[in-house]
Amino acid sequence: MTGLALSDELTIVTAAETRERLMPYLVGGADLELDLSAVSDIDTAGLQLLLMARQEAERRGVTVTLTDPSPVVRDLLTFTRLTGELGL
Amino acid sequence: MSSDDEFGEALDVFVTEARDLVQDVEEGILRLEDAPAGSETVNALFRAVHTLKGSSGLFGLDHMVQFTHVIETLLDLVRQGELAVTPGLVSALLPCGDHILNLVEAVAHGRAEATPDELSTGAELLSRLEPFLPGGAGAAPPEASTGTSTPAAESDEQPPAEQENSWHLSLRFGPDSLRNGMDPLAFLRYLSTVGTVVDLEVVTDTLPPLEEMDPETCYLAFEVEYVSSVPKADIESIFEFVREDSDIRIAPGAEQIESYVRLIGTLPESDRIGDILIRSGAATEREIADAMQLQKERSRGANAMVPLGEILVEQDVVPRQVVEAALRKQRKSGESRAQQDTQTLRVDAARLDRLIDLVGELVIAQASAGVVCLTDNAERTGVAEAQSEVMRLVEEVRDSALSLRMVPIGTTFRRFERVVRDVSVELGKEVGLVVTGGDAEVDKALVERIGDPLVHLVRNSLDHGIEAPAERLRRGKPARGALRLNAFHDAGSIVIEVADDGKGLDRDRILERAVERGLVDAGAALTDSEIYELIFEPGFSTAAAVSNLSGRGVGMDVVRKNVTALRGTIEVETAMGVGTTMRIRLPLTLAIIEGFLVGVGSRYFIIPLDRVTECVELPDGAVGRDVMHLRGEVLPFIRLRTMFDIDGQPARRQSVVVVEQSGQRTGLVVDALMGEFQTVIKPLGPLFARAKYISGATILGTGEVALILDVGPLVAGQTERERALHADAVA
Repeated sequence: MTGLALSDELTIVTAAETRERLMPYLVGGADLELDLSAVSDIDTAGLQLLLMARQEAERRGVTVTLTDPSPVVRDLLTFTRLTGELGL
Repeated sequence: MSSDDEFGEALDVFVTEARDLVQDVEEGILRLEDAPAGSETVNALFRAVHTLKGSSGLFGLDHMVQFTHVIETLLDLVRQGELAVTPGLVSALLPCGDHILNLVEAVAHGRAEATPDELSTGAELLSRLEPFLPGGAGAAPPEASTGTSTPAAESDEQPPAEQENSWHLSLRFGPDSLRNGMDPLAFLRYLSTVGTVVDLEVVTDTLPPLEEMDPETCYLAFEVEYVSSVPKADIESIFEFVREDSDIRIAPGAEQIESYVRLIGTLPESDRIGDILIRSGAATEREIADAMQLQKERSRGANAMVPLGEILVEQDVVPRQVVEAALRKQRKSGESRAQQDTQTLRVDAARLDRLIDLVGELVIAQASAGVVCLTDNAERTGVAEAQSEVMRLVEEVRDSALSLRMVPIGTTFRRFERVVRDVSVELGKEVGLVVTGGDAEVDKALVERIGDPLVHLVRNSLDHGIEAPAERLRRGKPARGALRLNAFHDAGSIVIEVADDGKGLDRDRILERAVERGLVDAGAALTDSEIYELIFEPGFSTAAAVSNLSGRGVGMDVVRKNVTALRGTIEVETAMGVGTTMRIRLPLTLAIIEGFLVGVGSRYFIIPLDRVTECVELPDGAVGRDVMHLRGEVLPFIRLRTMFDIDGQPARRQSVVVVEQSGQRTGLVVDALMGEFQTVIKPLGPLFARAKYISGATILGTGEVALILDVGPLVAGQTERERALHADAVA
């Protein structure tokens, strides 16, 4: 199990960069824990990266766990009814 | 970020539309007093504010959302008849419109946040609205609107008014949405401020694997169960800015279908199923337009039209039961009518000018072809006939091209409702504005340039013309003054009148003042109209003189200068104690004039036809002197040959074209009269900017250039010369 903490913005502004950061972990094929406690902002681009990461893990037979979502992340996931699906 | 430009474009669209909306808002507020609750005026005003709030929300302009929200809440009360419109309410609302415009302009300049100043102005404006709001809930945040059920009714025909309807929204945002700065989640958040998102499903079907994923492309789609009391068109308008690239479907929830079917049953018959569906609220205008577009595409090549209803059902726009109900109501007229498009189109003014310029060239080219035909021998009569037919068509094309630039002057007049209101409040006078003839059309360029002079005249009337209520009563007039704006077409010109029922111009004081200023000699014998004309003289009055002068104030010379620059005239009609009318006469367009073509030696000149009063022969006796007698009156004249230094001997029989400018008549001596000539004005280059008596040029059918005479300065110059001569003679 490896851990990766995402921080600051998880938005269109940082989307490309975030994908680059996620890439090696997802390709590495190990279970991954994403710490979301320091995320200050999240939009659709951020959300779809999280969903993509989950989907990718499933495809590769590993798990990606989201942990400790910051209030903005929790708020968004609640609004989009994704808390259950994402195990939060 | 690569999406900056695109976002900027979307923002530009927002700013343009917001400006229009603010104008609608202002006009709506001004009409509010006369509008009953629930009328279209109130509804339209409410919608405009609502749309402003909605689109501000999309761009994250929270300060605008908060401000407009309060106004929206208030207008909603008006709409429901729970709040009566009073002059006080209108006065409190008007500056709010201005404030919104300021905020929009700030956004246009790239500032998306309010300055502390703007915030405090906004807060102050809202505090003035506070008394009108129930329980002082004025500053409630936008979220508060979710719970309070706003009525759905746009009109009585809407389905179950005052009731929440359920909708199923299928939202497939365009792949570039994110890049364009449109965050789908922001739309969903906004949705939840005007209704309740009951359920939401994020659809990830198109989300690609890691390697193929472009993190800036939008892959997510949303299915939303939504309950709201706002009509379908309002929900649709939330997605206005992403509509083009996205697939947005708004379908009524199951329980709503039945109510639509029932409602359609009560509607009158119509020829078109689309109208029925729009009226019932089951489909929006846009949905029908889109479906018709699709219908057109599908039917291309096919023998039969695909029924519109089928397309609506297939596209999940309207449920089948509702379409069937509408079909039953469709009048069986047998044939489908041609679509009547009354829509307007925004066109870049520069393109229009280019078209008009080209048509102008065409007129010229056509005229020269005509000249060739006329000089040809009679055997070719067929050619001449064809030629005249082409001429007729070209003229029609020109007229319709010019009419594209024509706008009703009423749009300019509407500005004055505000001016009159503000100025009369400021001056403590009561003034009612009566506007007539607002549909008279005039060139857009003229409308824009006549605005300022008109404001001047209106302010003058309010300031110096109309008396204070007490004084009016003393004079036996109603306390409320009347200001009348009128426009009408008159022989190729538009006439605009600004009339008041005030005290009128004081002949004696104007004369006194003019003598004081050295504009006229103390003993000069002037007619009344000559005296009134003096108010247009530069230097007649200065700002300091305005307040103690009972006539018109500052800058009337500027007004006349502006009007003259537009090839117009201004005259004044006044009666002491009864009122004053300022009458501006302008050509309908600046691009073409009806001219009178004359020749001097080998040169050609065009005199604007509306200035020409008559043509007479130059009497023999007049040689050497620059005046002649015309029916017992002395007519000064100008020899164009001398004025423009044209070589050669004058023709044996010279003619005099009598022109009139501001009541002054002058003759222009020419060699030959060629007659009327419709002239496409080509502006002169900067090189000729100082040419005093020439306002433009045109090309004749023969290819020769004719100069267009600027009669105003020509005649005025003559008067000055005469005066100088006269002064010499006296001395």
